[in-house]
Amino acid sequence: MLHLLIFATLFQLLLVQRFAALLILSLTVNQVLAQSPGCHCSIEGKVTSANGSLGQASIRLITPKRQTITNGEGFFSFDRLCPGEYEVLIRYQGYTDQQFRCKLDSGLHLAIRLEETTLLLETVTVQAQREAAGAVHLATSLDKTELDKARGGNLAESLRDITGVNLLQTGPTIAKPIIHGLHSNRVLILNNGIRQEGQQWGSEHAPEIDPFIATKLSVIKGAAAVRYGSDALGGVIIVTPPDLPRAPGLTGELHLVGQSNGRQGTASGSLAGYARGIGWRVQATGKRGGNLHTPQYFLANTGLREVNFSGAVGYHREKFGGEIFYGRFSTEIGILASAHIGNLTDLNFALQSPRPVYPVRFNDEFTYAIQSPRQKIAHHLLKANGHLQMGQMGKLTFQYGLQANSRREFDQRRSSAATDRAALDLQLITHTLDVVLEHRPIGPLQGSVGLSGLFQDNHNVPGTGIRPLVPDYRAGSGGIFVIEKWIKNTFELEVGARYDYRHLTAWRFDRNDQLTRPDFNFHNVSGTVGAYFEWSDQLNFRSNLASAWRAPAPNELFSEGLHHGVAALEFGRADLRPEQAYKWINTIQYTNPKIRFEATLYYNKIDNYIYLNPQLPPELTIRGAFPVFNYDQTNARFWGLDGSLRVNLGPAVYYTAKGAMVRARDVSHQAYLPWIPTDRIENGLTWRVPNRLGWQDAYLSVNSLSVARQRRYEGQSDYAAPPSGYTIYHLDAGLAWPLGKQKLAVHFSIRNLGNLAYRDYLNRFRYFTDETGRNFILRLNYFF
Amino acid sequence: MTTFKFSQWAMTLILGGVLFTACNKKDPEPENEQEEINSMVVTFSPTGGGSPVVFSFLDADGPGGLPAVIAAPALRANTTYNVGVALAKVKGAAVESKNAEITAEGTVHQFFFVFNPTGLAQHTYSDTDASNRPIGLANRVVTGAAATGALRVILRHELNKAFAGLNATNYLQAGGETDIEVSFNVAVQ
Repeated sequence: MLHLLIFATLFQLLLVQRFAALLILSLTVNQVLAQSPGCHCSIEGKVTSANGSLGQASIRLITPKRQTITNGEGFFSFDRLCPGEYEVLIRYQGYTDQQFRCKLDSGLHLAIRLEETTLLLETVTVQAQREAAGAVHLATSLDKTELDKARGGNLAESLRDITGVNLLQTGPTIAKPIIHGLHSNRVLILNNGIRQEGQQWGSEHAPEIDPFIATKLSVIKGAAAVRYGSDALGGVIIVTPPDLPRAPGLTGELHLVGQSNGRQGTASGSLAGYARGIGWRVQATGKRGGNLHTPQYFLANTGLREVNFSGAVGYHREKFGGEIFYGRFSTEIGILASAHIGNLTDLNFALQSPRPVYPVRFNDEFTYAIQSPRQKIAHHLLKANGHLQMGQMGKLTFQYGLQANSRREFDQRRSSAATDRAALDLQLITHTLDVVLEHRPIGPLQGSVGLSGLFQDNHNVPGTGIRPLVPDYRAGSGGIFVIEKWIKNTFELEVGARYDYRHLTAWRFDRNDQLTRPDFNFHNVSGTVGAYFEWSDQLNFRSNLASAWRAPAPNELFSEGLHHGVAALEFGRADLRPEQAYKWINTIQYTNPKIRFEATLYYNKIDNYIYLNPQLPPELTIRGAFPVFNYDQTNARFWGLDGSLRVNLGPAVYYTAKGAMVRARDVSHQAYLPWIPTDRIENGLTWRVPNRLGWQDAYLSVNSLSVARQRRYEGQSDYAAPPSGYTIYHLDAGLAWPLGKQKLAVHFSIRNLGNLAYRDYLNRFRYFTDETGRNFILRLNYFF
Repeated sequence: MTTFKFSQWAMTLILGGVLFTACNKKDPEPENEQEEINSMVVTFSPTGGGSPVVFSFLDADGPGGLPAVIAAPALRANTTYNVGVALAKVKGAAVESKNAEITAEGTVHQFFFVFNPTGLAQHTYSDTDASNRPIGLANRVVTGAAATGALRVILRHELNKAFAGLNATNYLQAGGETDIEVSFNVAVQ
């Protein structure tokens, strides 16, 4: 129903024919074709500023008239140019325009550095969340163009193109991002600047964020505790919505995505405007999918539904401004019918079964219906933020966030009378408050000092009839940090420190249903030191050593008994200490007109690493024998290498390669850790199709992904040996039609081109089924 | 120059935060685990008369904690027994029978009695569900010659009871979930 409502409203607006002034972040690429012979030269480059690379900067050539914008990394390129002299104009809101003349013989590489017009005053350049943490921390981003090519998946799937990022899947519909081998509550997700709080300790609890709200998704792969607080051991994922409009006019977008596998349809639209000094935006997404299928059989009960919407209003002036945002994410996800296994007998049967055997109420066929086991989640986010010029002191920003997360998990019940009663019913309310003061630069020294606070209440809604997995609890935490940067033209040094305090009280029932109220206090000091060197405008290097911490999560402290979702008995320990991580991350970047290369090498030392220790023999319950795991602590070491390469093989063809490897070890027990990503490499060939018949930005690319078999694992920590390695192929193509000030883009993809039957080590349901088969995806993006 | 002082902002925000935390959290009530079954009693009553032999499984504190108590006294060789299964939730002295729930949803439940070695005893069902298929709350077991072995009693839920040739060896192929799986050491004397 909601889909139709969105269509109707947006269609009406199109008919009204209001041509709007473009948002600074909207895309307009006008390319006039110069078809003269001998014109195969190119101009390429990168635009940076004191705060790192500048995406969405406008680059214009005066004669002939060509225009483009930089991508998330600040790169741009023009090709099929004739040798000669060019006037180049670079502009970006809030920075001084640069215009210069240059001579082109065959290829030209430009490194452009823009300066902010005025440091903190004058132009109203407040952005909703300026996540640029300085040049020392590399934020690998996917900007709007790249995101629009891959719309329709969940948040983790949207991030899969970033090297060093993997997916931890629980069946085909649930995925969580892994950064450098770490996931769940070792990765912090900032949703519109607010730390996402929603039972993230569960490996089958996917982040409750709609990727359609973002105009940019960034990943910071270093430990970033000093700036963001606890949990950022592996890295930070930053979800950035578009800025509110600053100029009158109505703009919007409409996205339609259709997928053959699962017959999934997604519709998302947004509308933004500006009136009397107030900018606003509304956005909504609806998604519906049914049973997915592997090359040989259907995956029963893998449908999903999602309805999300958000709205924001803001008022900005030079000296102050504020915004209010509200977003709601809600989803119902089916859990694979054959994955809900009972005991070790059933597990062994499932492991040697060539095809899944479903309970009698499921069929090996397509349906949109979702039955138990299933998850039903709703997440609300209310955010109020503002900024204030404090005169000589600097700029003050503050943000308040209120999150309400409701998670209901429905299981197989003994009696059908209870099928509609949740087996897990949790409500989590979180308040966060952050106040940051960026002081006025003192010479080359720029920095900020900040305070942050969090208050959280977790409540089990009574009536499940099942002993809760995590108890009711209340937690409060506070932190104070200081970060200073010494910024020179080709060199930047950053130093920071932070103190955190966390308090936790739980209302927990012991085995005899007696109520206990254990209390916990955690303190931590984190630090960061890093540097950025620019040897030339083609080569730069950055290095960062930072500490991060994580207090033990409620499931790690309090688990006691059968965890139905994983069919194992898990026992927590109340004496667990916080994890302490030290991550040293180094990145080198090289660009020239033909080659773009980036490599990251890191080492992460995590003391008091909390993990599930298998215990033999299995426990005999009335349901049968179940494996037993105890939460324990050890010292772990992670290290790895990821890299990407792009080589221009000609004026219209380029080759891309991406690779990553992660090594992890439990050094106290000289053992391997489970669920560590295996080595992988991606190769791709992209052809930039010449503009014809009015279309532009046309491309065709073929990619292959090769994943190695996991050989570093401990037999008793896993139910089955890891699956074999595999190579899978994908095809992507697309083009765009400018329609006056509007634009229509079409993208077509075929994933798993060869319909390969394979299993992935990082899918927790690999014991039961293969991965999904071939999928045809069509995406339509309409911008107005 | 702004009219708001930093200190004024800070006080408002901190006070707001304090007010939120001031309300006390009510003590929760323990969850009543009505569906939990933690006791199974299998009573072997000899058809020719005599005292019954009672196999039992009791996990008083649920999964984990203290191990379950399993008892399986010896059976007489070459004897026909009427076997009844009683499922219950036992909490202290309170015993809440769960058999009625199984019978009410008889078409989606079935017990399987797996003797190892298979010649230890012969099993046949004595009850039926609404579709005339067995459930297994009432059974007949005929023991063979003196021997030792094991008996696994399994209760399957949501299985395909119409599965061709459904028996105690191939029941897993009929799909469904295992609600009960208990192994008893059997001595036939």
